[in-house]
Amino acid sequence: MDERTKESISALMDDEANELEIQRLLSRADSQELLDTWQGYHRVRDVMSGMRDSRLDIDISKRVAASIDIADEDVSSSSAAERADDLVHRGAQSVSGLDSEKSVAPVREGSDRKAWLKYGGGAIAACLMVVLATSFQLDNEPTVVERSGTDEYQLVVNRVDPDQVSRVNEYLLRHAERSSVSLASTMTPLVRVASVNSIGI
Amino acid sequence: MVRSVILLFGFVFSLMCNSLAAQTSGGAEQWIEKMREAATYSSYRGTFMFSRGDMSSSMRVVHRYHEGEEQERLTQLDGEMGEILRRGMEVICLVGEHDLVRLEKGEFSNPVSASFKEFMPDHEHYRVDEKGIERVVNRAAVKIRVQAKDALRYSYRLWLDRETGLLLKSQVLGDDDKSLETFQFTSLEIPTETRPEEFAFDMDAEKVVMKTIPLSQPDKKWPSGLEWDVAWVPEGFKTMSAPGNSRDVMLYSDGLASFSVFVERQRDEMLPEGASMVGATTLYFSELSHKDMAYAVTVVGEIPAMTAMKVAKGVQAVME
Repeated sequence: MDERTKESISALMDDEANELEIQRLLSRADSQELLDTWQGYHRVRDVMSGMRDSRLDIDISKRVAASIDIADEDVSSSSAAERADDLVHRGAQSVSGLDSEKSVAPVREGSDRKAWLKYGGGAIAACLMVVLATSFQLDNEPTVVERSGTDEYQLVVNRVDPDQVSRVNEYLLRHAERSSVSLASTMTPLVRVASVNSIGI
Repeated sequence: MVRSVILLFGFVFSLMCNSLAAQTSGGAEQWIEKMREAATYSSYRGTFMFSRGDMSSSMRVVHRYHEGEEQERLTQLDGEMGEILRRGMEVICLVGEHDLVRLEKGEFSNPVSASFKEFMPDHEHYRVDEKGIERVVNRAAVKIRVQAKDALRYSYRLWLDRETGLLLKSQVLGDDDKSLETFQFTSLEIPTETRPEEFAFDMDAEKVVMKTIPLSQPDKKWPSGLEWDVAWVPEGFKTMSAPGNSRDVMLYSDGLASFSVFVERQRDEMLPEGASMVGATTLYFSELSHKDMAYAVTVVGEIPAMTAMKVAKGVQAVME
């Protein structure tokens, strides 16, 4: 997407777009790239204003590559870029639906990393990159759980695929029946099961 | 003269406060016990909202204690039709119009630990305080704070009906007191008369498709005498498994929270290694190898992901 269109989107968000800019955007209203950029800019604004989106689509590699120009600038010295690179390596993927379900996996820190993620382009794109990486970090700060020898386990937030829901429900139901005899409110375990997307087994 | 009046007023006011305190305190622990009894023995009917993360749903419930057995029926009011019927230890789910899902029955409860007194939240791991009276679903409710003393478990806020002790509202709290899960009645009749037909599914028996979910799926190729031990359990959690029961399914509780540990054969559709979090419920999946055989360990419960992971990683094989 060209810089002029990006600036038009930004201006529209700030209620400063002129008639020509609005017409330019309307003519491309069916463009998925434009819609993705519009959505991304709104999330940036929400994060920067403290309104963290709990349903953050974690697909940084695709979104950054699609919305910014790749430059030759090496940003290996940037801690935020390192974190983003690490997240890209872990293959964070966007998943539609099941927004409140998260999957956390232990990751050995000694694993190889991919080539540095490079970014450049306009100030808005760079800001988007840093904020996305930072917000992901804030929401999903890897935490050291256990140290064994030279290994170090960290937790990373992924997503549960929609086709895994029935398996998840199965375990929830098993646990619910077993725990219902021990809890203060015996209804609560079953309520948890019933709330998961029409039971889905 | 004025000073005397002030002193007299202060004295009377303090008497009033003490009286009010005597009416509302009974002790936070006593309220917890009253809550447990009300949940089991009360007959009630109502609707409630249940929220976890950014998902919420509304449900209808009817509950009674009948002929020595607790019975309840949950009906989902949002989305696709779904109901859960519980009669004693048996749980049946109705999916759609004809599909019934039932768990395989298993004797897992330790009869000794089934008494309420065994399940008071341990003061060593929780601090239980009364936090006053609030109004919930148009009823006076005693607010109880159950504060975890370590990071191995969650904290809770409970609102109990002052008249019956029934739980009217609850929150499971994560980091920074963030609510991971909220339960709240929006309408309630208690006590209420219930009818037998409210605790049975009204279905055409010929069209019913019954599916049974096994408690666990052990592998027939496992060595005989193989059992499983959970080497690390958070302090305060006690086993609920009955002696001599299958050791590939284990249940632990600290009186408020609980988690199950399943050790099963590897399946093609196994979930990836790691934790999944559905509101306050954590599911941790892990692989385990023992003598060239692969096993799947699943920890499910209302505990933090870190705790679930440590439990899963501590599962080990024990040969008789």
